[in-house]
Amino acid sequence: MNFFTLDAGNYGFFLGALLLSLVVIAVYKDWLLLTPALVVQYLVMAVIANDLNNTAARVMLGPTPLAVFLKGMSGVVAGLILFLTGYAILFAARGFRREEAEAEASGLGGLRRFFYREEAARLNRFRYVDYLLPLGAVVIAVGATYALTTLLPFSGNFLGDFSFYLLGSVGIAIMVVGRDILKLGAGLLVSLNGADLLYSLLRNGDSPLVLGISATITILLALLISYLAILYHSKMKTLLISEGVRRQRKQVS
Amino acid sequence: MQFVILALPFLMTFFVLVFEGIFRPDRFVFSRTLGVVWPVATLLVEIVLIWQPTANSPDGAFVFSTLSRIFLSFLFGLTGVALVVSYITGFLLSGRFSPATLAICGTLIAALYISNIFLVTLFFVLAGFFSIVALVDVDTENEERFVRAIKASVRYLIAIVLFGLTLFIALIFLERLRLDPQLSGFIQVVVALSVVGFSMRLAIFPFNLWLPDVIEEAPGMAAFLVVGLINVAAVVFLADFWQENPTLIYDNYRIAQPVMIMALTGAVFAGLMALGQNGIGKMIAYTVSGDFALILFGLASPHRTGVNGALFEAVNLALLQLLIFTCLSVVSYCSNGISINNLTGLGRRMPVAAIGLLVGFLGMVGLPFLSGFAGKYLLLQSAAQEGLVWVLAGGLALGLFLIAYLRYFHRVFMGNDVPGLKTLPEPPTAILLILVLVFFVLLLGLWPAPVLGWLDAALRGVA
Repeated sequence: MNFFTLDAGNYGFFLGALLLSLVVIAVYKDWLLLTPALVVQYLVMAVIANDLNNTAARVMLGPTPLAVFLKGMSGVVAGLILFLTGYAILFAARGFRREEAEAEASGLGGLRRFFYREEAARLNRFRYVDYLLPLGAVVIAVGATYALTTLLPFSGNFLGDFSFYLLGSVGIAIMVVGRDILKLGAGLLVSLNGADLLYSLLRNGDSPLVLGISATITILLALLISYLAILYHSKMKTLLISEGVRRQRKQVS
Repeated sequence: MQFVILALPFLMTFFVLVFEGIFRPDRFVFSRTLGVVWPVATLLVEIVLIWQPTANSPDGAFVFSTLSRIFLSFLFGLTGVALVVSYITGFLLSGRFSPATLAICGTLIAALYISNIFLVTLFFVLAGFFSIVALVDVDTENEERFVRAIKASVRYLIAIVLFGLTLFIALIFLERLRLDPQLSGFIQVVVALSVVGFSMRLAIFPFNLWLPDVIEEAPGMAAFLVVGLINVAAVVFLADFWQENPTLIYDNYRIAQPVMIMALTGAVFAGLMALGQNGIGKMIAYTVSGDFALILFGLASPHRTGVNGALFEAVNLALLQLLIFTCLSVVSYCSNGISINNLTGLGRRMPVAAIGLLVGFLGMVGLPFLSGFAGKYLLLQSAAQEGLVWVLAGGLALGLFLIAYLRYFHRVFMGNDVPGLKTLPEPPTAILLILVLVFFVLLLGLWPAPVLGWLDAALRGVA
C-alpha cells in the first residue's frame, strides 16, 4: 500500500483521521491525547498535500517528496516539544503537590493552603461545559467548512478546499474557546497547517527554501508556546490565562 | 557577500547568547556593557554592508531596494540608541533583550533582502516571534504585571500568526493571478487579505486589540521593537509590494477607495478610543494605531503626495516612538518601577523626560516645526485631493490625538507632586540621548526636504 497516494481504499481513512485528530485537539485537555493527535494531523495533511500537489517540478528526498518529509518532521518535532512541555508542567505540578503534602504533614498547612486546595479542586472539577463548548465549536466549524467548500471553491478539488477550510475554521474555533496557553498554541499550529496546504494546492513548483522556512516556523512556534507556557506556569501554577488575571483581581480587591 | 549580510546578525545572536550564558549580565557589569557593544557594532557593520554595491546578487535572488536601504539604515541607527537606553535603564539584566533585538534585526534584513515574497512573509512572522521574547522579559515579582504581559504576548502571538497566514494566502492567490490574468476576481481577494493582514500587523482599528496591552505592560524598549522597528519595516514592505504590483491598488481606484475609507475611519475611531483610556500606554497604543491607519491611507492613495507622506510619516513615527519610549523608560527607572499611571507632577522631578515626552507627543500630532508636520501635511493634502470630508476626517483624528496626549501629559507631568515619593535623578547619558533625539525631531521638522527627496527618489526606483 502506497501511503503517499490517496485512493478509494484509504481516502476515508485519511479523512476520518483528519477529522478525529481535529476533534481531539479541540475538545481534550489531556496532553497524552492532544499532542499525538497534533502529530497525526500533520502526517495526514502531509499525505493529502502531497496527493493534491500537481506540480511538475517535484523536489524529492530519496523516495519521499521533500514537502511530505518536512511537513511530517515539523509536525513530529512540534508535537514532541509540546508533549515535553506538558510533561514538564505535570512533573512540576506533582512536585508542588508533594511539597504541599509534606507541609501538611508537618503541620505547616494553614488556612491559606486550604483555600488554595479548594480553588485547585474547583478548577480541576469535571464539567460538561468544558467539553461541550469546544465540541459545539467544532460542529459549527465543520458546518461552516462544508458551506464554504460548496459556495466558495477555488482550487477545483473538493478535498483540497475542504481540508483548507476545515483547518482554518477549526484552528480559529480552538483559539476562540481555548482557555490555556498550550491550547491556543495548538489552534495556531492547526491554522498554520492550513496555509501550508494551500501553498501545495495552488503553487506551481516546490520551493525547498519556502518549505524549509515554513517547517522552521512551525517548530519555532511550538518552542515559543512552550516557553510562554513554562514561564507562566512556573509563576502562576496554572496555564489558564483568565485564571491568573482573576486571581490578581481578587488580590487587588 | 549575501551570506555574510544574512548570517552575521544570527551568528552574533548566538554568540551573545553563549557569552551572556557564561558571564551572566546580572552578575558581571562588563557582560552588561558588552551586551550593548556587540549588537551595536553588528548593526553598524550591517549598515555598511547594506550599502555595498555588491550586496545585490546578479541573479536577482537577493536585492535591497533603495527604500529598504534607507529604512534599514535608519531603523538600525534607532535600534542602537534603544539598546543604549536599555543599558542605562537597567533593562539588560536578564540578558534576553540584546539577542532578541539582534535576531529581530537579522530577520528584518532577510525580509527586505530576499526576493522570494513567500519567504518575506515568513520572516516577518519570525521577527514577531523574537519580539515576544523581549516582551515577556518583565519582573516576575510583580505578579499582576507579569500575568498581563503574558496575556498581551499571547494575543500578539495570535495576531502575528494570523497576519502571516492572511498574507501568505494573499500571495498564493497573487501568484495564481499572475499565471492566469483572466482570474481578475482574485485581485479583490488579494487586496482584501493583504489589507487585513497588514492591519493586524500594524494594529489598525479594528484589528488593534493586541496593541494596547503590549504597550501598557511590556518594558518600554521592547514596545519600541514592535511598533517602531518591525511595524515600520512592514510599512516599507507594503509600500514596495504595492508599487511592484500596481494592478492591485494604484491602477484600481474602485478597490483602493474602500481601503482608504477603512484607514481614515480607523484613524478617527482610534482617536476616540485614545480619549477613553485609563493608562498612558493604552492611550499611546491607540494613537500609534491611528497613525498607522493614516500611513495606510497614504499608501493606498492614488496621489504621489499620499505615498510620499506615508513614508515620511513612517520615518517620523519610528523616531518619535523611540523618543517617547526613551522618556517613559527614564521615568520608570527614576521612579523605581512605579507605574506611571499612579504618578503625578513629574515635570519638576524629571524635566528633561517631560520635555522629551511633550516634543514626542506634539510631533505625533504633526505640529509645525516638528518632524511629524511634513508627513501629516502631505497626508492631509492627499486627503484634500479626495474631497473636503476626507480632509476633515483626517483633521478630526489628529485633533483627537492632541486632546488625548495633552490630557495625559497634564495629569502625569503638570499635576500636584506625589507626597513622599522618592525618585532618582535623570541619568546624564539618558538626558543627552533625549536631547539628541529632540534635536533630530526639530531638524526634521524645520528641514524635511532632503529626507523627502531621498524617499521620493527611492520610490521612483521601485516603481
